[in-house]
Amino acid sequence: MIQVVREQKGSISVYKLSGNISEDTHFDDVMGPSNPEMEINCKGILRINSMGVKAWIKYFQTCQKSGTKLNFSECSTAIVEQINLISNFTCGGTVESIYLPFSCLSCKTELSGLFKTEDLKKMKMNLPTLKCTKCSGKAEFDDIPEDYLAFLGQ
Amino acid sequence: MSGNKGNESLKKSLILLSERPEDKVFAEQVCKSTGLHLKTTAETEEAVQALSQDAHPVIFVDGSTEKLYTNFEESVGKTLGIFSEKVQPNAIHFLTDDEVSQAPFLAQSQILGNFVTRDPEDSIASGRHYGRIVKAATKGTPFDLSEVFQKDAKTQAIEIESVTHKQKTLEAVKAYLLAANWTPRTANRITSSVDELLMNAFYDAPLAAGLTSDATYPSLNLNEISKRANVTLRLAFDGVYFGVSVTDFYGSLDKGRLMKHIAKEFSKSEYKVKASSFNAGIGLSIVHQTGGSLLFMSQTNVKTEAMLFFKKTDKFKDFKRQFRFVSTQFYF
Repeated sequence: MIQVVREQKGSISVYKLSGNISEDTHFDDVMGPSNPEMEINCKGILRINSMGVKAWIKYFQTCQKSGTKLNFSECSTAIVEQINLISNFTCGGTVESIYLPFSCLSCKTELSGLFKTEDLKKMKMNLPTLKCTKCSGKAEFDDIPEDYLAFLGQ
Repeated sequence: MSGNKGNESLKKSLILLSERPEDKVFAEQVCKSTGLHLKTTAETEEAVQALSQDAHPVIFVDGSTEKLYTNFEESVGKTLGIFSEKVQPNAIHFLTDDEVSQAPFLAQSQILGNFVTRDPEDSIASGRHYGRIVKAATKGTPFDLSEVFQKDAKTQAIEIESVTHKQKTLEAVKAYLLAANWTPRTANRITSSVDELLMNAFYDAPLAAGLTSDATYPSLNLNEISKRANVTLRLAFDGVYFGVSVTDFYGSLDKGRLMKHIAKEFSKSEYKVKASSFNAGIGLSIVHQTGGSLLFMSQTNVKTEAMLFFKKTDKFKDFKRQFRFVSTQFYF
């Protein structure tokens, strides 16, 4: 099930989404009507299935048609994968920041690091390493950069 | 045509039509697993001739390019006829360097049974794994996940009586993977793929069987559907490969539609929401693109078992690059 927490930051309505998005997700009910400026924080989304993708696109396309400015922030790996798989997943919105997956070379722990998409564009696939929070070892980006960051080139 | 000598001629054969050394290594491993007798040739006519003479042979064909494929298809058409009994798609395996979406000439082929994307880094290990699939398929009768893994792994089967139990089932699959030390991201990825298979079994299979329509969704309350609504989930793990399957009891899978769905890439074309249909139409495409191998075993009007295979890797990027295939086994 999806959980939505809504906050207001000036003129921007911020929606913090967490959980799984599926055929049981009714965006109209959990998000309410669209607002002129919406920030969708996707940090807590673990999974989204095909019916969830359909519901997502249907809802955000309606927002797009009504002139809403959409901004997706802190996109989890599950959301980044969909952005890359479905060309119109963001429905005309901008992707402000995403989580990159990392893996510790010593203890194999999975980590994630938040990056602004503007900064990633400047890095040109030269991604930094992180310090493992568990063993202080070196953690490197654990995906195929050309796949995971494909949407940056679109 | 080169092949092993001695009593090998009495065995069922695996004909390899390819000039590529890695295909020979791959096929040799498959033969070790299956007991098939390997016959290698680079000549299309010779391979097709062998196909016509041998009893129930398996054939591996280099399908790297459209030209290679067309040569084979034309030769089969001329010598045997595309719809000849000798041409059994279940036993025809095309070896390629690409994904299904990059090879439409194969995805749309009438004679496609099995689509194998080569693993240039380890033809031996991939051949050993694929050998299990070929072994199960060469029996010539429907099989399930436990027969693919045989004694290599313990298989668990779970009966799911209603789609309302789907979420709990998915969490159980994820917990199983985490307990077996799969990384959280990989466990989520696999769980998502299982979700798609379960939705296909609960929603798409009765639709394809003509037992319901988009208008009746999601209330699956027709008598016939309630009799056949149970879905079986099987899990198997041998320490290296995890297999999971979902079985519905409609047997309504259509190969042409299946391959069309798998081969579609929505990163290049826009996804259009169809309000008139209940399903999304993108599930199998997502499953295929997000990793793992697929095998569909379908017995018409009886059952369809959709199987997924994933190799356990330390790193996610290796998980994504793993050896893959899309296999279809249809029994009428």
